Amino acid sequence: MKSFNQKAKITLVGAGPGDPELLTIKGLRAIQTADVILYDSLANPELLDHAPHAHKVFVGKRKGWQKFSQDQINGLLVDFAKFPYHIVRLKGGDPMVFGRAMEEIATAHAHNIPVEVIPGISSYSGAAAYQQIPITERGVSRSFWVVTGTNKNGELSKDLQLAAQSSATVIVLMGMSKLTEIVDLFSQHKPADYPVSIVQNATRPDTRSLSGQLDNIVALNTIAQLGSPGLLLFGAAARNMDAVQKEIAAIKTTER
Amino acid sequence: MNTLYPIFLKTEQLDFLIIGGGNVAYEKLFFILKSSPQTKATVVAPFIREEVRALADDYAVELVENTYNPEYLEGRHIVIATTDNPVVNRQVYEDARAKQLLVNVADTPELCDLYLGGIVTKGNLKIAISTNGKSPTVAKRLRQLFENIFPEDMDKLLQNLHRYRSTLKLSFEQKVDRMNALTQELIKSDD
Repeated sequence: MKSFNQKAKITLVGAGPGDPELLTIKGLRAIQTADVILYDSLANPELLDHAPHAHKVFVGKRKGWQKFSQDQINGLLVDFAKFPYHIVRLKGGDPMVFGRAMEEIATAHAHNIPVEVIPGISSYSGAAAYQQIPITERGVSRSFWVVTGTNKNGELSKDLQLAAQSSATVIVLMGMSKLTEIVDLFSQHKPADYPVSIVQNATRPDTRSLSGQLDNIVALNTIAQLGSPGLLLFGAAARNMDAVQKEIAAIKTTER
Repeated sequence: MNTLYPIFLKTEQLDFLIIGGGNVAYEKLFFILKSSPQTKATVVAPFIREEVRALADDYAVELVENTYNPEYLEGRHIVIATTDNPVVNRQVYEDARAKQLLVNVADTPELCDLYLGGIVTKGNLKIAISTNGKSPTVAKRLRQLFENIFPEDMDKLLQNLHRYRSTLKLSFEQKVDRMNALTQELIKSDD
């Protein structure tokens, strides 16, 4: 029989954006030494294979039905710590980026349970790399925003309205259901040919992407039908590869 | 590969303990009693569903309306945890393992020493089906398939085939050919 850890500990592990090989080595070691793993639907379940003997508890949403509220998840963390266990809370992407990590960290502190956070690759970063869309590019875009599409009331977030006025690359997470509204918002501040990309299931084997511009992306997506989970990229960096090739060719021509 | 080893238990000589009294407990208990009506079992849960109570009326099932306590493990052989609280399920597993009892925690393969497989019964014939915990749905479909394939009175068939085989004065190969031809009917579909 497996012997258990003598001291309780909570480790928040970033599971990465989808591809199970995008887990950090430190995250892998945490999973391998876990007694119990609390995971949600955003974490790739293949990662659980690294811990064949750990007790795995699904705490996410299934078919729109949530088995555990955030309060109940916090309660599980505390109760499992009493065994005492090494508890891994496996979260999609990076725990510190739209991961609701603070509530879990605060719970650990309140109960004097040691807590550690291991970062993961966020979906925006994974999507950029796998789609070969640099978020920053010398002379093209010098900064970026990562915003959620809607606030908790389901309305477009205020930050998004500010982001649409910025010259930075803007990455919108959890915005697929409001694609038309978000594109309309950007159209109020940007030219019709402003580049937009959509990436669905970033870094997963079934990933799909679509590139266009403000005046055609919604129409293109009525055909392509990309949906959640997906992210939107706005800005010059999101222009399609053909356009980039032409620019590079133009630079070479003038340099000659 | 499936490395599980199937065994056939005389459940009337064993004491089962089921922690939890909801749908999952009912389902486990229902299938145990369907196959082995003499099973002795105790259900411990603060709330026990009406369906579980109905089973207790008809079979050797004792109901205890209380929260889990390790004392209930005393004198048991097999423990099944079915609560919706993963912490309680884990506690049951830990306590049962400490007492060297066999444990099954519903929907939690890593906390199982045994699985309650799909079962096909036709007279003395019993087939246990396991998909290594990968697909209960496939196990269920296979059970239905086998239930349709095997005739109701498998006993008589087995006895008749045995008698027929002993009357054949043929070489071993010829016997096998004859038996194969005869039993071919078993796998023919009606339509």
